[in-house]
Amino acid sequence: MTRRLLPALVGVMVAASAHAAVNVVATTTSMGMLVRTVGGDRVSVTVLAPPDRDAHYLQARPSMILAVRRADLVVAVGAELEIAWLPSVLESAANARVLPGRSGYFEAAAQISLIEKGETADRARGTYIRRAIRTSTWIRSGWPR
Amino acid sequence: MGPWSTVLITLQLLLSAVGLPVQPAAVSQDRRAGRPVVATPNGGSIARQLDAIARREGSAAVPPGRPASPRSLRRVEVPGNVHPRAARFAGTDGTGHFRNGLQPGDKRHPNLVYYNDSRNGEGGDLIAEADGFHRGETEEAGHSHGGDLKPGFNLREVEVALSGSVDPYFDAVAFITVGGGEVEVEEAYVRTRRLPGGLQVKAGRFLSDIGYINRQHPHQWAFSNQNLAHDLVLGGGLAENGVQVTWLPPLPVYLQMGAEALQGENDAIAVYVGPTEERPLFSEASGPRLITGFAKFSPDLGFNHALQVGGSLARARGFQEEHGELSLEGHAWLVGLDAVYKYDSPKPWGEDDIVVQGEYLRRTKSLAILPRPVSESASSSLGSTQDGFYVQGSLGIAPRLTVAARLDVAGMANWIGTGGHTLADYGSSRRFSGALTFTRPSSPGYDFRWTARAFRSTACGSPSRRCGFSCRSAWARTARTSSDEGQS
Repeated sequence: MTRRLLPALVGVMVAASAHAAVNVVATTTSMGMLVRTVGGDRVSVTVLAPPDRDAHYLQARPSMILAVRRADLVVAVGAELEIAWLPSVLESAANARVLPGRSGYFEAAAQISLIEKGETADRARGTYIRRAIRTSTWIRSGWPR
Repeated sequence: MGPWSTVLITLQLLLSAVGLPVQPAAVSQDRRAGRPVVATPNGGSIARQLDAIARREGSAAVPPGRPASPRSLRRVEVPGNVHPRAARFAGTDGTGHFRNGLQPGDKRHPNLVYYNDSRNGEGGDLIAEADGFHRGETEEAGHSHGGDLKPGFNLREVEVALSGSVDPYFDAVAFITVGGGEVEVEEAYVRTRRLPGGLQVKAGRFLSDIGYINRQHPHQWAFSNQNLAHDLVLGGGLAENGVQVTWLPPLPVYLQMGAEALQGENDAIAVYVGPTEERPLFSEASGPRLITGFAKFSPDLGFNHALQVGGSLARARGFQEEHGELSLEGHAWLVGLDAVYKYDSPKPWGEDDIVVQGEYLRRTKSLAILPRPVSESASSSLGSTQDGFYVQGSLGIAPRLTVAARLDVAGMANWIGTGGHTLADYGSSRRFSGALTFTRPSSPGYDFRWTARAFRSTACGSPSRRCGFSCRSAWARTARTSSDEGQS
């Protein structure tokens, strides 16, 4: 994934001023660490979700909107982790550079192939549905080694 | 004058995307084969581009002499870094199936209320009759948001939210409510995506951004009814047809500024009747009759705390009021102040979270008694000033369980005067409310919220010709299909 994050970073670094550090907004601390590893001192990283918080259930704060407003690149985990708050932050920030589909938006989960996804999920079947699906997958295709 | 003496100007905005059926998949993708999610903010024209990508993918993804593997798709030049829900905003459903137009079923909010009060169901009327708050004869009976609850079960409304991208430049959003045998368009607007410099323009029908709670839909309120200040001073809330411009300058602190030009149909601060047979004295005033401006400021207080303070201003022209035989016309001003503080605790599901919010609204009317005399004399004019505020706080006492309390007062300033003389000075009305809310937050899928609320209200005017007391209780239940966290 780092290999894929690099082109995205280089892209915005070229686009941004040669002197100023690239403003990167990472949704989680793990994504922030990744950006710092790749970008070094060429990037200035703002993390939106603190490490002690469930990133599913955050609320959009004005400070998040401000950070995205000033961002050159947004780095998200994806796979619907930030679904409750990131879309509204992106909407309110009025920063066209970092909208999904533009070069300033990077989503980690979209760079890999997700496993065990696309199964029929129904909350009426309870929250152990994932475990059940995983078990049935193992039964079909053999237990993981 | 010839036939050209009349120039018709029509600016038409068609939300044509609303009626579009969902298009069949333009690009069918096998996610198990590891193909990335194709998402693009473009509209129908991009379907061809996607087809081209799909063809290129098919021919080049597996180079000769190399075994096919998911990793070989790395060379596919598609913008695959897309948040799934954002992809829905961008015109795809996040599963690789390209769709155009709005995505129905994003959110649905059936709002079922069991209501009762100690005045045989007339507790709501008591508030409507609060001293000094003249409800003009032009006002339609009841509000869509809760004044007109019957004792017992009420399906207050079912709100359906639709949103999606029209093209790379516009998003379209619509909130449709169905309830009481009526279908109401609560909001339907397009919003720009790509304006430079932090600018955004919204056009259509929308909830005004003045203050804090005005922007929220009823299912987002901490109580099952609107506060007194908004109910009496702002007619339940300001939702109008018009245009809004907001600007978010790139400052070190959050400061959003905005202005709106609205049609002016609100029954509390922009009453317009127009000349009728019974009221021929009213003059014709074309829209927009209501102009608003607002600013919101928020310092960065870190991960756990958020504070936002705001101020708003609105001016309505062509304000017309009927008092018995009298016809009054003039203008009205509205000044508003709002503040919200939120504490987001590290504990899950809202435990120990705190929200404290308050708003103050002040309305000043300056009206002339029609017909206007040739020379403006003091006795021909009528002015009134009325205000209201609410303060409410909520605390997460356990995971998913929140208690909230609210004090709302209307009419601290509550007088009608003419030429410096006070004709009538009314007292204030106040109410205490408490709420207990059970929320089931949820990752995407089905989301469910159950709310129980109890109210104690007193709308007691002074001089107390109409002094009353009522206990009201309501249990409201709102089901959600998608999480919609409110903005701080």
